[in-house]
Amino acid sequence: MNHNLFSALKLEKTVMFIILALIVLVAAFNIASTLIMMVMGKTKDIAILKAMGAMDSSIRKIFIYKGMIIGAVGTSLGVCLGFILCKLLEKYKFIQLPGDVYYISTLPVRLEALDVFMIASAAMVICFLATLYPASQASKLNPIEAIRYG
Amino acid sequence: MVNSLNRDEKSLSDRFLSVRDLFKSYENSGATIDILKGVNIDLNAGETLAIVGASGIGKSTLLHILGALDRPDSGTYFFKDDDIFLLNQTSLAKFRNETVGFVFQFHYLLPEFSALENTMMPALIKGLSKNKAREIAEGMLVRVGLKDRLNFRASKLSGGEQQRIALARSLVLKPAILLADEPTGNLDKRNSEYIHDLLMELNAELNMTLIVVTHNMELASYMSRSMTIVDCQLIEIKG
Repeated sequence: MNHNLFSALKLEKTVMFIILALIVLVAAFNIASTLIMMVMGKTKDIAILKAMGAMDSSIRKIFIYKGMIIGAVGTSLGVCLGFILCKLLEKYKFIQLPGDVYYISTLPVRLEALDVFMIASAAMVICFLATLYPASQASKLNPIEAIRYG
Repeated sequence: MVNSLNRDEKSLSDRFLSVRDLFKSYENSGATIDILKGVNIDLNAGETLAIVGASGIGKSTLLHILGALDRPDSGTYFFKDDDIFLLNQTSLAKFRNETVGFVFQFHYLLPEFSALENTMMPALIKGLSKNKAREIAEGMLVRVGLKDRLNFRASKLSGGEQQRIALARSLVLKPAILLADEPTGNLDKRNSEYIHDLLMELNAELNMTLIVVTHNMELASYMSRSMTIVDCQLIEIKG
């Protein structure tokens, strides 16, 4: 009986991880599209920086840093909010469970440092990947096109 | 009119800026449009050159090539001993940063930054410390008469002031060559005259070679040489 319950819970955890990863992925697309819009808006600034001698790698770094800052702020906020929510749930037990199915009547909370670390790291890695395409588009921009058609 | 090819006998050791047989064309809807066909230029340190003529004859393209922003289809461009188009990406960026200053018709200042920060930008790209960059940028802004505008946002200043910041920014690293593309094309008469005087004073002070693309014949008249592009070839106009 217990074996079935735990394997069901394990499956649920895996499914939850996939759902959360998809949410993070959507957020990463958001970061990528924000950065792509920013690259388009900053075409002239990128062109003038290149005309002043900025290397392609420096331009790439600007947009990677920008994306990583957005990612770091989002991840920190998410971790903080998640932590607060878990503590509140632990104290006030506001999610009820059907006791005849689960043997417990409220949703239990167990915060694992490793889980938090893994989720935060995964979020940062996905953010980093999301910056690569816009940053490389920015660094490949031809300054002449932007300046000529100003 | 005299073709500039006649300057070929100049010895290689005193070569400052030398362009040979420059060709450039563009593809447009399958058709090839020739812009430059066999352009030659020789300039000495401190020399001033105006490139005049109607729009669309390739003046700006030539200026962009001289600033290593664009590449020709063929031809050589020597600055002192360096063959510019054989340089690698890093050396080319260094050339644009330290040797060339660019002023465009539109100022292209970074709107979120102050006058001082905009002027510091080439020095920061070069890798100078913030303090050193601030010091030389302040000096250059004072020189162009913007002592009281150092911390104003670039977007809050008038057109004339913005163009003076752009000029200060292009000169902050004391480049050997200043390339100006219609620097006063967007300004009123009074501001244009101010920029013209400033260009000539700074040219004398810093001994930089000045190449100006302009429609403004008054500005062109200040330059020691004038050239125009006819049938994709650069020809000298006798003063």
